[in-house]
Amino acid sequence: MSTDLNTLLEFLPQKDPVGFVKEVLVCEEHESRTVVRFESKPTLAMLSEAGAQSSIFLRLTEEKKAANVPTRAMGMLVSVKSKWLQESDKKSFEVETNYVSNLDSFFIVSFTVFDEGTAVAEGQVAAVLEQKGVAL
Amino acid sequence: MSQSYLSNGLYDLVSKDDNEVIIKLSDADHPIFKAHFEGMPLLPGFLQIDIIAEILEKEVEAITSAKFVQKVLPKEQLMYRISPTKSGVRVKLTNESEELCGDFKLKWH
Repeated sequence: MSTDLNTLLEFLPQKDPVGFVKEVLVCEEHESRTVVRFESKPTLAMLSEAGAQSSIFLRLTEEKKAANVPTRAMGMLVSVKSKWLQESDKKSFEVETNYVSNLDSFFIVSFTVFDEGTAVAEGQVAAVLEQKGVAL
Repeated sequence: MSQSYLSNGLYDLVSKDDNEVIIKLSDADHPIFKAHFEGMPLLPGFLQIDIIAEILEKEVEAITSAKFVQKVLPKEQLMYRISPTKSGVRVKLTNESEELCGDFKLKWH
């Protein structure tokens, strides 16, 4: 992991034991990839939360600028849908997130959870991001 | 009912039947509230789902939809109302003021 990506973890507002993202592998405009870890086999809801946390590492420079959202904005999860694709007993996974769309500060992101290259869960999260000068 | 490493000590079960479950959340000193978020303790959305699954000893296969509409704070008493749907269950979560906090459509077994 590069020093720059390592530094990004400091911006994750969720701390242990609910800070599931342990490593940032890719941090691009519309795609991120992270390593997430749990102390025991995660539930689908935990994997969905990991998807939401991983989405923090999408850059979304133009979308945030247009929506008056700070680069490192807090967000509130509004909705989730997700499903298991395959059983897994692992405690560590890679999570890929992709920007889907946004309307103003309301953002939708899809996520896929991988166990050694095999997709085991997928879903979509929606969150409202804080705007400059407006508390959530 | 055994509690997970995340929910251990997070809530007390007040009452439970087939359609209705009432819990009382711990205070803000619980590690979950200290971690989510520092200085602004809120019950994470994923735990709103995992708590009811844990109490009813269910495993969630799919979250058809989960809407989080109200912040859930430490020490709140919460009521889950569970009703069957064509493809699973619908779970509505309300606080003591009867405000809707969460609305979940789940498939579980």
